Amino acid sequence: MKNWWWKILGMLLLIYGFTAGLLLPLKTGITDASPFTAELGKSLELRSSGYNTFYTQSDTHRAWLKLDDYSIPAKEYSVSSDQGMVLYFDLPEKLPAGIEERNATLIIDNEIDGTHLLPGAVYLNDLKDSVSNTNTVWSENAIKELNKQEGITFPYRNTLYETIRNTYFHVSLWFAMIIIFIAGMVNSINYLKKRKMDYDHRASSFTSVGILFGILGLLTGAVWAKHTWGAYWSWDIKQNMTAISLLIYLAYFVLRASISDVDKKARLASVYNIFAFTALIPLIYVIPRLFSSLHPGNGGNPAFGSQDLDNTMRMIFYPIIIGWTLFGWWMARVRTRTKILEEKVNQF
Amino acid sequence: MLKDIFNLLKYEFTIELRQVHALGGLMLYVLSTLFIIFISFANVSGPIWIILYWIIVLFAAVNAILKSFSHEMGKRRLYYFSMVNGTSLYLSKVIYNFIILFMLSVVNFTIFGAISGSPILNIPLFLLAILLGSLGLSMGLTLVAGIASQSSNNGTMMTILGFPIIIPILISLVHMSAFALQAGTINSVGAEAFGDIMSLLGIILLLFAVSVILFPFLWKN
Repeated sequence: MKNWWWKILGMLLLIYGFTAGLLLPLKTGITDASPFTAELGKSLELRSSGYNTFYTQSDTHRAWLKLDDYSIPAKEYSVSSDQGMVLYFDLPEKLPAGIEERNATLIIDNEIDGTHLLPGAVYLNDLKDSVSNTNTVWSENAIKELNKQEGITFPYRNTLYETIRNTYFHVSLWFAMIIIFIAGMVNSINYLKKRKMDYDHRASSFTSVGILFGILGLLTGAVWAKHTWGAYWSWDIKQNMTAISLLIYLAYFVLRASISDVDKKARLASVYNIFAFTALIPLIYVIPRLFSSLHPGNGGNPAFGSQDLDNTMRMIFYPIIIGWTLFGWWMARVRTRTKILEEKVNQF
Repeated sequence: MLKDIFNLLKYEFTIELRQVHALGGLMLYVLSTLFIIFISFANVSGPIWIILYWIIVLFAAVNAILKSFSHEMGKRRLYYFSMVNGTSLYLSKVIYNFIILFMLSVVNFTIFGAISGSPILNIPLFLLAILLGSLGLSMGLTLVAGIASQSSNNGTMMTILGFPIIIPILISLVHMSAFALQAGTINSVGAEAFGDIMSLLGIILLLFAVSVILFPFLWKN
């Protein structure tokens, strides 16, 4: 147990992350509402489709169309299935005083599913023929006593849907990759200081595991981009910079392969490894900030803040980063040992 | 140490002036590239002009900086090793490369402008970009050239190792030069160009600090 407890810990964290990350359900949400547009001063029949909802199990439902602080409640509703509901609204004749926004948010609330909403569900047009057949008015701050959904769930986001689970793979693999690259660089520094071949073996092993994680991070990112941005590769600045940083580390191995003298190889490779890691910092942290990007955290897009990464996700996100890191550490250790053995075999 | 750097610089330039063909070759390289570009593009719009300009400078820089280490092999290296320390050798190389690159870029700017008509309206800002560019390219590529010159087939190694590392500098340069397409003085450029200048300076300082620390390790066996 003395020396290998962290390997078991890493495996357990990964198993925990995979099972919980893939099996826990998403929060309830509304995927779609039709029609998209409505005329003020008329009745509206709105068909909404829920996600992960159980409408038939609740006795009463409440629903609102909301503009800023103003809202109107639904007049009636009819539940057609667990996911389907038809809502009837009487829209007031005019927009609330002082409000310019026309994209109304649809909010549905019941005991089982809690509160779920669709931002920008209906666009409100002005009354055309000036004959209004409704007499409702907007009420301010009327949405109260909302229910909360029970159980452990992940956030529901309208562009992400189930792909939000990729946070545990794409994002955490990148975190682990940076840690592994730092470990490789520290070993390179140690080699230059102490000139022991073991450090160079470790540095190259850590770097190769880092590249593996980088490629996996890039692939999971590409799959995610296909679902959210529409294409596997859209020449986004963040994608380009990550591809270039992988090129830097592939060059590290080309450099190693091109030198036959063992000591010279270790020395040059260590110098390049440290230099390459330094050059990685502007590539990942400076340049993407100068350009607009689709990626979260850049060009005005919010980073993964409290909206996207809630406490449930943190419970899996942080452990799985540690899990990936320990797993990578283990792989690098095994690779180092085989390298040392290869060296010994070659001496005979 | 300053004296060492000065002597090494003096020595580099003496060699350079004796072997005019090397520097002349670089100039000729820039000229012939310019003609190829001019023949194939005929009319070049502003942003493309800037990109082509920096690509020519990049390739000239790779050739020039790799060349600066070509003398330092074999017995001469041993001689240097007994005379000066790694840091002063590195500093003299960086200063030398910077001067050569700056000259090349200015010549390139003049000839490119004379041939295809320069779209640059804010010339002081563009000269600042040239200054920062030659500084950044020499900082970023000198250490890489030191590594490449010690490996086999160093020409390929130089591009493989150097290009990915130089890309942040190149992108900021192209981004910054784009502001020189509008008329104005250095003081009139907005906060955005200022951000580019600051990030360039940051990258240059970072690469310089790491190179100064690492070069002695490259130099000593």
